[in-house]
Amino acid sequence: MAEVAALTRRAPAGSDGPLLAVENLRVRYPMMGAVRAALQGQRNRFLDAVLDVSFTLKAGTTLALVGESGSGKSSLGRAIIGLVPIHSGYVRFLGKEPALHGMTRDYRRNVAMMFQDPVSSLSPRRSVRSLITEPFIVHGLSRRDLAAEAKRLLALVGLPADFASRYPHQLSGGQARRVGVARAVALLPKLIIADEPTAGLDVSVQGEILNLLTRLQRELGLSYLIITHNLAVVRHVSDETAIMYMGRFVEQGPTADIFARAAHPYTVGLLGAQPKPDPDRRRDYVALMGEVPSLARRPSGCEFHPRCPHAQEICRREVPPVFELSSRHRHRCYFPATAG
Amino acid sequence: MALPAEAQAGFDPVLQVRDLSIGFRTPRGHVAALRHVNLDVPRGSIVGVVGESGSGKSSLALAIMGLMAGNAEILGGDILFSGIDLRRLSPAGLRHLRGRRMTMVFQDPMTSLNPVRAIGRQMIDIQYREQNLSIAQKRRRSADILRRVGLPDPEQQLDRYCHQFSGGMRQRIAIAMSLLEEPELLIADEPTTALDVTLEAQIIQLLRDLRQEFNTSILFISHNLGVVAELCDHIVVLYAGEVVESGPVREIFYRPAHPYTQALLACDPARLDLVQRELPTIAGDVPNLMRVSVGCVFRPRCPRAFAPCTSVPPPDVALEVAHQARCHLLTDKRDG
Repeated sequence: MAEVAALTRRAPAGSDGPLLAVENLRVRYPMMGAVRAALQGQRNRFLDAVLDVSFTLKAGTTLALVGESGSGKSSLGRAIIGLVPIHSGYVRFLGKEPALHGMTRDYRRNVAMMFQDPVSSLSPRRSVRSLITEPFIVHGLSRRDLAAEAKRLLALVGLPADFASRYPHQLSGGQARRVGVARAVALLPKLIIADEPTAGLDVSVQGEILNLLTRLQRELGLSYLIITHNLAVVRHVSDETAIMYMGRFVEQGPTADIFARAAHPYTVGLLGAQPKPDPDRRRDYVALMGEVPSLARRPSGCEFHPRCPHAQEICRREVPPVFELSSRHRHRCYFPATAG
Repeated sequence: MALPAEAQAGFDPVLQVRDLSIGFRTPRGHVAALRHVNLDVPRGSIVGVVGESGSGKSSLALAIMGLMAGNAEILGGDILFSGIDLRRLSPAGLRHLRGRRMTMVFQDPMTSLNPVRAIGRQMIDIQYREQNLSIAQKRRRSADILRRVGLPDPEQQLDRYCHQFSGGMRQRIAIAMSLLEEPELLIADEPTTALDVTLEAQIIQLLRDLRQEFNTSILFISHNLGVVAELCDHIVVLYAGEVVESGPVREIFYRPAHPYTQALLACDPARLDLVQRELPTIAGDVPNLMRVSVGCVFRPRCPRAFAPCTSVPPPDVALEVAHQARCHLLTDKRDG
């Protein structure tokens, strides 16, 4: 652990500024291939999975991205790490813009990803030792004592040393998740993007994985971008929360503020739709009816207006700008539930 | 094992599972997946089966439906459906019930619906028993049931394929198909796990409305305590293949008696009033069901285990009307 401590003490360049700054980011996907569009003689259409997203993430903190499926939260995570191309906008890491020159190797070392499905994101034909030391080989660090590194990583994520020779099918959901964590922290990154880190886990195991992430954050000074739809978990583990709807941040701010003073009707609806584990406290069913519209048919004005109980004429016409409730708590709604 | 309430006259269960044990033959040995499970679904009620992965909840559902995997076998016990002994029924007799008087909704509608057949075709196919109905009549029935589960423009939807629907709509279609024959019992195996909370709320509301409308009894299998609390009348808690506690929903949530139930409830982050970074967990691992110990199955993880838990199987202790738990601590309390 001495090496770990030494590395975390290395002061990040520009330590007053944010670790990650995202400005007006847009990710768009073509609706058909370029060849097919040309053959059919029409201009290709696009859909915007992420639209005009801006946020900053301070070192050592956790930001939760919350939204329903199709809200663009995974696309945003993938765009930040360079797995899908950025259409416009900026991603700045420690003040520098890695995206301009392609994602540099240094950036890839500092930003790691934990993928959604722990079992299918691990190659079934490789042992745990091989899986968790793969990052060293990819980054040309294979001269290190890989067996020792594997032992260190397994201990760090709380798995017994003899797990090194196991294969992914011999792991439970929680253990596979721990291997995913070990892969992500192998190169001591500064930021980990965790896509649904606890989806599909039982509540007791979910607690174990989140506690592991919290401990590693404390020990290694990590920052997290947690992509999830589980608001019950977000409340406990994140410092800041952003609510996404059809690619936009409709509300963002300190987690406590989002839960205590939600402004956007969508946030209010999502909070009301959470299951209440109490037979005498029913969740608020009327809160959100219907489903997220298709991104190919983006509603005019405020994208949420077809499902919004408070929608008025202006909501159908104009995209709401960003309103500030406080310096950190922002939303995009003309008629917020809480005023500044 | 009759519960006090059931002893009364007029008790009319749709489903009774008595002392059911199921084992799996595997290359590495015999897995005792379910051991001496008792369960009742009174007519018109919703019973929730709660348990973590590997607790045997899906095995229980598949055993009731007669859909067990090839290496699984029922080692003992009875499954009674409306008084019919399912274990003594011929395969043809079971086929006569299954899909008509008892139906099932699976977790992932994307894999339970046929991707290469329009949903209307699939819905007509499953009405193969109705020889007196024309295709047009079957189609009309299909559209009617889709309307009942809240699908807009059902006539047009019948010609679409499953990939053209969203996840919530697919699950509505699966539920509509299961209700087509107005079954007495609907087994729902984690029907909302793959859905967003907003859709989950809508599906739960739908199941509750359908119970009112069709008087269908539902066996609802879930690992999500919040969903079970909202929907179910009665809860059965499964741990490592055993029913450790069962009772009315309020008893289980307000007065959980078994240490496992208590730990499970304590782990749910939605139940923590104060924000805390360190979340509660249940220490230890689920036991290996190839070597089941003599004593209490939860003993290795139980914070309050004492001497008898290692060697003596804990009895089912009746606590309140229809509330019982399998724990030595409770007998102790009684004696003292």
